[in-house]
Amino acid sequence: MGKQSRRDFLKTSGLIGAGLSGLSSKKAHSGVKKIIADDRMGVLVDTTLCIGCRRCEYACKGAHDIDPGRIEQYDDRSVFKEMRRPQYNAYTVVNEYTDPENPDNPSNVKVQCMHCDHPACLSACIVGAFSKEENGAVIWDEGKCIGCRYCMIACPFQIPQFEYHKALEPEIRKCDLCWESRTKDGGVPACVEICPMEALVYGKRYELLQLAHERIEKNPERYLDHVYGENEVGGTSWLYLAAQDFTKLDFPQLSDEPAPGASEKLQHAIFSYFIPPASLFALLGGIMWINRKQNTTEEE
Amino acid sequence: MKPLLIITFITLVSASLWGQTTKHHASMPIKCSKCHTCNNPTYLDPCLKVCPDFKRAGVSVRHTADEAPEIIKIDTLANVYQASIFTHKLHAEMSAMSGGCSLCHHHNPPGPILQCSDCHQAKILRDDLTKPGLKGAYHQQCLNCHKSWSHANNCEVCHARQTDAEQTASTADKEAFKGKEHPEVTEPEKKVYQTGFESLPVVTFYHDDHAHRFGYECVDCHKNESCRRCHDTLAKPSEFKEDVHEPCMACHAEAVENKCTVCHAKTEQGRFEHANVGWPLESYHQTLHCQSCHGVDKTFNKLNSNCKSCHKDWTPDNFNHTVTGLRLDEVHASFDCKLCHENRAFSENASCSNCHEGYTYPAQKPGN
Ligand code: SF4
Repeated sequence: MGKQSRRDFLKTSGLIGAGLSGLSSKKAHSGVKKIIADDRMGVLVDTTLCIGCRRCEYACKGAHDIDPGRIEQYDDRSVFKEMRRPQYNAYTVVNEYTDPENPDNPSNVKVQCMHCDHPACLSACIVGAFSKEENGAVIWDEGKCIGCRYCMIACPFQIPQFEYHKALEPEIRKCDLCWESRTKDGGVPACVEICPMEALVYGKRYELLQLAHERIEKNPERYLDHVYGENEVGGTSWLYLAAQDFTKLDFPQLSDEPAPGASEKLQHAIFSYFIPPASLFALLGGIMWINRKQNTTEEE
Repeated sequence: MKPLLIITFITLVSASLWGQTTKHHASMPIKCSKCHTCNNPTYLDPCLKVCPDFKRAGVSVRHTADEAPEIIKIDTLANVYQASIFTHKLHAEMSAMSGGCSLCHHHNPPGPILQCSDCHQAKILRDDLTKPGLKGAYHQQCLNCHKSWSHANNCEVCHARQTDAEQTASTADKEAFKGKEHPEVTEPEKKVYQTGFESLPVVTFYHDDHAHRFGYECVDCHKNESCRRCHDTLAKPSEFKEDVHEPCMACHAEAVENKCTVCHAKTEQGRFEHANVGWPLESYHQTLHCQSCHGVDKTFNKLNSNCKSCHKDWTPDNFNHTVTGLRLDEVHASFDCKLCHENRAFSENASCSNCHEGYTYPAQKPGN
């Protein structure tokens, strides 16, 4: 028994320590769901197949209660003159890049949350609003979000967007892999469903990796021998195939190490001089939890 | 007695095993229709579907584009957009120079041609992700070509929107597409290329000679043409030496080796003349196709001028001198060849001096 309580004590004091030192992400929200399931899902994007029809942008809005407008508006290819980024009201956008070696076949690249296996946003979030679900979706709880925007700074792909225009209760916005409306119940993300070219394939991540490598092997002239997202930042649920170098398609060059390490440092730096309210709550909560735990141990 | 027992035993065991396997296979969690075409497959008539993709032998039942369906209405997936009217025959004809039927019917197993939907499932969450679903299969097939030659990939090129009554007439009316044909492809007489090869810039290519005189089929050279070749105004000719030389070198590699002058010259060149290789063709030979003498593999084997090298079965007894353009009179026809053709050198003029002093051929002829 004594041994047991001692371990509990060590655990809780670790927690307090974490709170004091400015909330080391992982320990601070030990309640946060971060599942890396073997058969988690993912999406393989074949940028050589994508034709830039932007139907995925249209479907995405429809699936997230954003007015998509009329479908024919998406035929306007003049948007490709600029490189666009996801917005608070457009969780995915498609850009176009000319291929100097193949000027007749430009590469179209769909951009959205990559749904990292080790999400930096999740680690950075001080209130534990983020979670990585069993199917791979990285989602967040609007109810918990306090609008601190650390996730935006932490994300290596600069995906989370903030409703700056809203004075009241602005929220963080990003692709949720259609978790709420579709994939939670075994459905397919809206963009994947609408894509006429099947440039997007939704399936188990490990099967998608096999598929991606098979395509490269069968068609070495068509593809660069690299599946983006296989190892970047420790792996992502969204995987990309391309005909030209990924850096030319504006993909950040990232190491294979999970990004959260970087975000932890960031937090430590921010919090080294003061204890933010959330840490304080965590500290108090921690103390309460020790007391309760000790009570129960004694009762046993 | 013993063998009989053993046989009975084996029969019983195998029967029970067979019973088990059939039971097992029928109770497998797959729909019967995945493998069988009929509702009640039997042992004698299992009505099995040809499983595509296992043997990629390609289409083996051949027919012409004319026998293929003319118009196909692709409406398997119509929801937001209306069915697409696909001018199948027109496409089949157009594909003649780019791989034929197998361009689209790519992994057809041996046997008759299958439809796209025989192999590609309409379901998005499929068991087998390696094969695109039906929607992907259609669009990948169409757009891979369409986007590169017309640079148009908006949906309305093939589909009318469900709600759009106006467009219905133009893109969803089967009748409107009937009888459409690709305009006849005109054939150039010759092409004179100005190349980047400074000292010998001009290459003269006689297209009509290759197509008609030398007996090539269009597809012998135009193997993987795409619509872009003629239709894409943005396309630039390849600048890679290998790409440009490839179509010619398939046949001329041996002759060319490193002699650029086989094709390249300072100025435009005349047609190929047989006389230039040392033997002007006359009378009978003039009317022949190159292949008749030089072989059908179109690499045109080099021949010597000895009649025997082609006319292997000619003997003095069965030879009919008339084919040379000179019918011998009765007397001369009975002589041995070498009396006039010294040393049997048939390609040289015959000599009369063995018998007729002062006579020369062709001033004097032994017949007509
Ligand atoms: S719907 Fe598919 S093909 Fe169209 S832009 Fe999106 S990913 Fe590309």
